[in-house]
Amino acid sequence: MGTLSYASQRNVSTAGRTVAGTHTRGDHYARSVSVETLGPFAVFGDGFTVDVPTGSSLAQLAAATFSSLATDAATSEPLRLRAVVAPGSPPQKPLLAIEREDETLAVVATDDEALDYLAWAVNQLAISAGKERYTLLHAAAAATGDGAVVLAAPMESGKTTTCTGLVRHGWSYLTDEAVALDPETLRLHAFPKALTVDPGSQHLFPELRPDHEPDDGYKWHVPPATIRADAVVGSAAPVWVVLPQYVHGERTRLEPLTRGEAVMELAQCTFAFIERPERNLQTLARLVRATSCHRLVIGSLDEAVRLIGDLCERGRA
Amino acid sequence: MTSPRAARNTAEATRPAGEAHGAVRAAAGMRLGVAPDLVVEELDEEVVVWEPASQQLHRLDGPASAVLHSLTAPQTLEQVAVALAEAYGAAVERILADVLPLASTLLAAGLLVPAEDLRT
Repeated sequence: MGTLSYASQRNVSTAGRTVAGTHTRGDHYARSVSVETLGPFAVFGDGFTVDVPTGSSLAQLAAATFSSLATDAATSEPLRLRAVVAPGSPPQKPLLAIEREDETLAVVATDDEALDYLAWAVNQLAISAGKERYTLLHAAAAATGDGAVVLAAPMESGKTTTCTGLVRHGWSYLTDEAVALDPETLRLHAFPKALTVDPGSQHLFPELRPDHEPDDGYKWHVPPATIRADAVVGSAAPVWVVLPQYVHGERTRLEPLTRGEAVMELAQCTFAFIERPERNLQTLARLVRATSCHRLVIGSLDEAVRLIGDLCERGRA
Repeated sequence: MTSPRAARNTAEATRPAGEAHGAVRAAAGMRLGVAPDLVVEELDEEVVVWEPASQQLHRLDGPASAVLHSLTAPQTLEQVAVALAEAYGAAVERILADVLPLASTLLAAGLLVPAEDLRT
């Protein structure tokens, strides 16, 4: 087990303890079942905390992973997530129970699995909290001083990869998972979770490799401050809608979309569209009227970032 | 994620069922109107429509959206064809040949209904 991956992240333990040093999971968890609470964190105004074994390697990883969601604002009854040693777990090879309030989500054997489940639970919280107030898109978003690009697409289409490339290129980070579009103001609100870099894209970002080296096949949870200390922006006005689609070996290109085509695609990417269809359709229609809409076929990340940058330049011209 | 079922382009992607098409052809003189409770967003020459009964989203291109617009106030398809023929400077018969299958598709999708149903 390596040292803390993202040493620049501030510790967010409410207990005021500094999570420092390194423990092997088996060694530490076998000695202690005490728990520390990380947080409070918040997504779209809803709070959550994370209980982890005190001083453990998982505590370090979770503190870093959720650091960009830390809040000083009081949230009433924050959701309580827990990754704690499972009852009856063998001391020599302790298992971790992942819990959301009183519900056990999974029992896992490694920190990487635990972190994936915790991150998934936070995404679920973001969806349930965000879909009421906002038209919530399954999308990534990044911004420049000129405005934001919404990268909307199904899973495995290249949203996070493109977004990470843009942030590395100097763009500000809003989210790689859920874009909150305010129906009143049409502003995008950030859900600046750690960027989830899938194994297939990790070779594109060697500088972001976590020090603790997750097992092969696991996602990297990259706090945005790892890319740049001031990477996160709280909100931005949308200027471009881009629907990425990774196609191995394909020539990277932008293709214009009609506004009607864009709305149909965005509706497919809207969380719980049918719960508020009128509001969501009206908001999406306003979004595409206010933006230029394109499909982005991605064969090369660098080229994709360049093309989105060109859109930005064209807007200035 | 709960997403709407989407007919990508109602006018092109949804082929009218033979029965529905025949019914409309037979009833070209029947008055039709836009179904109630639709959510309609106009986007340039396209229209995106949410149809709540089937929970489907439809994208209509120019000709289909023209038919939908024409039936905001209920009228017969013959009347629609006459109006569009005048607007586009084309023969009524030719326009009617285009309007019939489009109206059939829109009827099958629940975007149009017989005018008498609008009164109930």
